[in-house]
Amino acid sequence: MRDILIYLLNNEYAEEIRYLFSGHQYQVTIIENLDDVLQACQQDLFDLALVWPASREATGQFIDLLQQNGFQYVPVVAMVDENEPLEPLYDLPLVELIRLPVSKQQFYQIIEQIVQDVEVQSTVVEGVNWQGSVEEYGLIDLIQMLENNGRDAELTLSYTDKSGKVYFREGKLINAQFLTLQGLPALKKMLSWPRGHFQTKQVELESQTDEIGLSNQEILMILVEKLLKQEQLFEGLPDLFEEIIKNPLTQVEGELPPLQHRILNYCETPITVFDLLISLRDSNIDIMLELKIMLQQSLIGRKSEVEAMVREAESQSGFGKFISSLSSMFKKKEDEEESYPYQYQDGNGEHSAPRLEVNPVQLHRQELEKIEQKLEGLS
Amino acid sequence: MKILETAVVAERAELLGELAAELPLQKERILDIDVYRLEIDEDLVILMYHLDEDQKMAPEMMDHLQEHLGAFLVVADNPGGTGFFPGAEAAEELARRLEGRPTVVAVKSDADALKLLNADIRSAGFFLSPKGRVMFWNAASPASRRQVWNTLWQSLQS
Amino acid sequence: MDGANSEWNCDDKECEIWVKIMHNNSSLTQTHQDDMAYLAYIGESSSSLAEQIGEKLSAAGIKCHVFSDLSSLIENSQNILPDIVLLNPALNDDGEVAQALYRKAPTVVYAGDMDIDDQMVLYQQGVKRVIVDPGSELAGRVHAAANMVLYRRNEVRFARQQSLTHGTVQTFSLPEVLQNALLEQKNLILKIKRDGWDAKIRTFQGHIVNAYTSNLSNEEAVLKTLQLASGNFVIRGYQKPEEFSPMSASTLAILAEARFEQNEIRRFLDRVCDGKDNPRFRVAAPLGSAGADTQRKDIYRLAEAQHPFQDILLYSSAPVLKTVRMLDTLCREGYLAYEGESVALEGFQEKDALYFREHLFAEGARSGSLAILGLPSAGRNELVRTLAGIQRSAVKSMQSIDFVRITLPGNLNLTIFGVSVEETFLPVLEKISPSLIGGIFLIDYAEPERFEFINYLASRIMQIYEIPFVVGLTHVGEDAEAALQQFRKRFNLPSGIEVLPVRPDDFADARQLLYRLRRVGTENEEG
Repeated sequence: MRDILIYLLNNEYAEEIRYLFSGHQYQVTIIENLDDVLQACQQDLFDLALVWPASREATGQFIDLLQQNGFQYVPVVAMVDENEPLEPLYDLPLVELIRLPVSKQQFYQIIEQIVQDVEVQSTVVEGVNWQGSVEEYGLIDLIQMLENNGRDAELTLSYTDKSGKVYFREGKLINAQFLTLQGLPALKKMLSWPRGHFQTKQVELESQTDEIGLSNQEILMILVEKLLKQEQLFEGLPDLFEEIIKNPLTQVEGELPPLQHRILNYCETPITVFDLLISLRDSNIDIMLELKIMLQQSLIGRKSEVEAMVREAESQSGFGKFISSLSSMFKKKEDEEESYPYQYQDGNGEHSAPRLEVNPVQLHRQELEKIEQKLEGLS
Repeated sequence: MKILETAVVAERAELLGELAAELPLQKERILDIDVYRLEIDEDLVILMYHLDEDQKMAPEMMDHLQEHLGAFLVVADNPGGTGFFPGAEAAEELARRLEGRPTVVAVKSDADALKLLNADIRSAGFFLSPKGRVMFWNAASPASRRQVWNTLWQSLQS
Repeated sequence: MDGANSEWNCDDKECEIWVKIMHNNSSLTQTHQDDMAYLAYIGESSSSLAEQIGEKLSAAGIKCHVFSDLSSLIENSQNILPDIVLLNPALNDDGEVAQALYRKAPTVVYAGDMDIDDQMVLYQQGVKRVIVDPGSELAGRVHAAANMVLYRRNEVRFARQQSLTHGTVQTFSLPEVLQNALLEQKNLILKIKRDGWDAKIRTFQGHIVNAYTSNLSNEEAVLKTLQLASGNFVIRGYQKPEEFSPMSASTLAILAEARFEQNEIRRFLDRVCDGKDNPRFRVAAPLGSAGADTQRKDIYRLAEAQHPFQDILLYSSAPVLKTVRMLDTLCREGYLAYEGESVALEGFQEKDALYFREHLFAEGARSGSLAILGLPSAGRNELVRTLAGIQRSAVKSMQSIDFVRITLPGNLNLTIFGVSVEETFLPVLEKISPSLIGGIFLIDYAEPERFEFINYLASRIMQIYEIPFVVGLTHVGEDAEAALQQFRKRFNLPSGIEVLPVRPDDFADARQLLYRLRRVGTENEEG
């Protein structure tokens, strides 16, 4: 059972595609417009993508689109017409070039070789039992799942060069480490990562003592509370992955509080809010509160806006004009869109809740008779 | 395979036990909900979620189940009383959520009162809504109990 | 080779090209720095073609060794396994040896011309890509093929590992994953795999909206998947504004039903299988006309093929409850028995004789011969003695042949020949062939170095003699299932031929072999 995405550039090949995929367990999604590719990838988990028939330009665009949008894990095959040269496609990151026409038998063999080669499980490091993206499973999910698992385990959360660990003894959370932090403060730091990778590993932790001393339930309550508070504070702040930078045009008056001083040091070069949060050992809530103050005081700002202001200041002599525009700079724009995972916009640009239509359960006459007979038989 | 999901609110837990006395129900507690299973055969299984005041379902769980519940059963006692019982609020909320779905209010009556009902009412109960009936039953009358269960599910006919 | 510094070390058999420039193909640069260049072995007798391919690979930063004969290429790959092998099939005069290489290192085979059937054989043997190009493009195409194989085996696989949540069912049970999806209202696609069996489940806002396995869909597919005791899964979140679910059951109902089913499975195992978690069953009687129901026959065949309970549950075409109940019925009616139960009487019974007469002996025949072929270490002699001893018959030995004649109920005579395949044995086989009703190949699992030889022999004999065969694998150790899997990987038997772990001194095992005799290419027929 394979899920295949076909980027069909010429409808004349549709018949050939139908023939090649008939009889095998393939679920084929055909996309004829490049604009629809991302939506298709967001809605399914493809084992393979085929560009059909492939040209240098269209295949390159297709691959770029996948790679720029986080779908670099989808292997791409170019199906090349017999009259087209292969060479122009050689330098593209393809997993295979197949010359058309191709026999069904041969096609099947080649496809199966590719799928085997990209198989995730074949190179799983021994001892690593589960790994993946925190987009699907965040810290709170993982704590609950490891608790239910009831074994000794080590959970590693990593994002770029930073990683933290959480330790479980027989499912009970006993310690956590992140940067130089230990215990609950470390857990809180890893609480709301929107991106990153996790790994769980079965380990022996018999000798480790419980450094936290709270039940998992109590820990979860603390974390959930923290999460809610953090979410409130996020409002009005730049997006987590938007870069912020020190505003060179604002003079620092007097001595800054120590945390603001540390934030300013990190903002000497552009840094995302998320990177800032996971680089400082202070609590996220404290950092966010200080960030808000610093944004209001124009000590820091969104990189794009600070750069624009600097350019404007350089081109204009009147410094007052610059100052007057600063006050509006960090206000949340009215038309600014926030990103809501799993929420969608309808044609009017409004967010709409996901809709599910369920096939209602209905009973046939024979089924009702079976129920009646069953009840009859019982009495 | 078909799984028919039914929500049950009972005035008292024993009432459900009495109503289902002959049914070979299996019980499991899943995600803090008591689930009873009645297997008709390998292709048709009925699951009943027992919800009463003690087991009030979290709203998120109710949201999850809402679209899937095929029928709703309220088991009540004391027809002459105020109609209020500890699970009444839950029943009220469920009835609102499950509007339009087969619903039976199964009222336990004493044996003599049951005999006084005319045959039509004994078999079909009172009209409650287009897919809802008020049925009367008694522990000593297996036929009356069977009629409650049959009525509950027969409105699901396609 | 613009700007490349090439360095050639050549002798008559091997040339090394090593060009230290990083290629401009981004696909190969991410994880392999210049100190971790890929290593390619080129098996090519034409020095000019080898040079062309080598130069192109070297320009892409791939370290190359050229071999003009296959044996030195294989010898070297035993010391240092290359990342890729590029092989001209003209060099391959020993298909068996090359096949072992294909399994070890990803191989691209190239030729100016090759028959499509030969290409298919190569793919089946594990070759990653066959490039056929009669023109001047061959070197370029081989280089491109090598690049693509390396790219997908390294970069793409790494990207998948990083982007997709994955793990084993043993660590996090699937009910757990679905419960989490329900409570957190997740949109997830789960793909679950185990030994060629796979399933796909999609949740939307925590509701399971569709599911399928190769032969089941929706509720039945999820319920089957939830009983999986081992296997791998990948998970990916997805975005979609709306979904229509053909399933009417809620995720809660599915989780509950799975639990009820698990309870029933437990009761069955406790009642029938001494509470073992994953017992095996053995055939206690032929199914005959009682196997008219396809699903029932399917379950019987799985048990007969020594699949343990968990596998029967998984691979059976029937849903979970039906599978357990049919298995229960088959045990109650005496067709199958839990392996731990002793079979009432040791020795061939009337029903065995009936089965042999109906399925193995020629119509109306009262006698037939059975050949047991194998090396002495495989336990051939013991197996003959086990079959003879149980019928109280004397074994005669003549040089490398054991010979015994046994009488079965119903006045059937079975002559068993134990033949060593170390000696010249074809004339012996030729002599007894008119009366042969079946052949058993006994193979010692502890002697893997002899596999290729026996594989070749077995395949040849199975092609020459149109009789049913079976392979008995001896000395498999404690994990028979793993041994079978390993053996299947290394052994290439004609389709339809079954392999069983066997103890040559165990009569039940010996009898099993007779029940599992199959003709080549008849795997779906009732044996």
